[in-house]
Amino acid sequence: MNDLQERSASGDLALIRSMMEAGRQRAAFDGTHLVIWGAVLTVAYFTQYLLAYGYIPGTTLFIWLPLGIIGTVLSMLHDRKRCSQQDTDIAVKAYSGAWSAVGITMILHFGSAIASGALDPKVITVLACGVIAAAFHVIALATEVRMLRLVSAGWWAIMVYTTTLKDFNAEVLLVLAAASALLITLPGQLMKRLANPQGAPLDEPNSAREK
Amino acid sequence: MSYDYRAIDDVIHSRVRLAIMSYLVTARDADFVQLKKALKVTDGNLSTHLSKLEEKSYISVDKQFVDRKPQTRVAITETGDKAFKAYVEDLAAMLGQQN
Repeated sequence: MNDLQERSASGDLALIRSMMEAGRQRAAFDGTHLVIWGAVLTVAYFTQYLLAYGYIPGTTLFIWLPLGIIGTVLSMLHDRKRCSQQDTDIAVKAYSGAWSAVGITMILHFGSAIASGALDPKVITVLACGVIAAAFHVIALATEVRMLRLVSAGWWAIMVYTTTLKDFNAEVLLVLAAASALLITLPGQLMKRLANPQGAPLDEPNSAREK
Repeated sequence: MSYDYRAIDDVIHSRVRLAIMSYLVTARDADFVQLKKALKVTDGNLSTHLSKLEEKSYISVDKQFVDRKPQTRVAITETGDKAFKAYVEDLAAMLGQQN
């Protein structure tokens, strides 16, 4: 960038816009992944609830496998559009790491449980709630978005609730479907709004990260 | 009545410093390396411009060691926010004068 380059007011405005956008993207903590996976989990849990009561035919694998693939593909398609500058950001690394850990943990547990015939719905539910709560806790610390601490607390509460349940029945699936919508999809939408507030005029900059 | 071009903030008016302020006004804070990548400038060039902005209290610069590696974080100040807003308004006024 050369200070001696020919300047014009319109050129400066274009520079301002492009740099503001770059700054917004850097601060933006993309909530799209949360929206995608929240929606996938909501559908999966609700579908499994219908399966449990015989409203629809099929098996657990036929629900989770295709939905898991859909969620992964959508996330990958979205990643291709992301600003590469974010890859060095510690908050983004924490986010990616946290959710990778969730995915790896659940796949390993699910796979080994099915292979050994020891699939216990209560155990997998408690484990899922715990790792999701931990992921949100890590992300809240890394991004300094306070709202995510409440989300983490919500998942810890559901983990405690499911642990203490004496009668672990299919109604828990409805709770998990609602939790996925309220404690994953909704925060994702809020994060997207924080990252890209609509109608922000050029001369009234907005902070994309909650302090 | 013609617009007084001398009202334009000289400190922000530099292209690199304008880019820095524009970036920070939305990012609020950034790592030195992130800024360098976004602006595509050298270390020395960026340091010089950051010093000038810091002298006017438009930004704050925080240097610390993380895992024995030096890390410099730059954040826009309230003064910087107001100065940038005023600069943009002056620029808009100048554009309006041209029309």
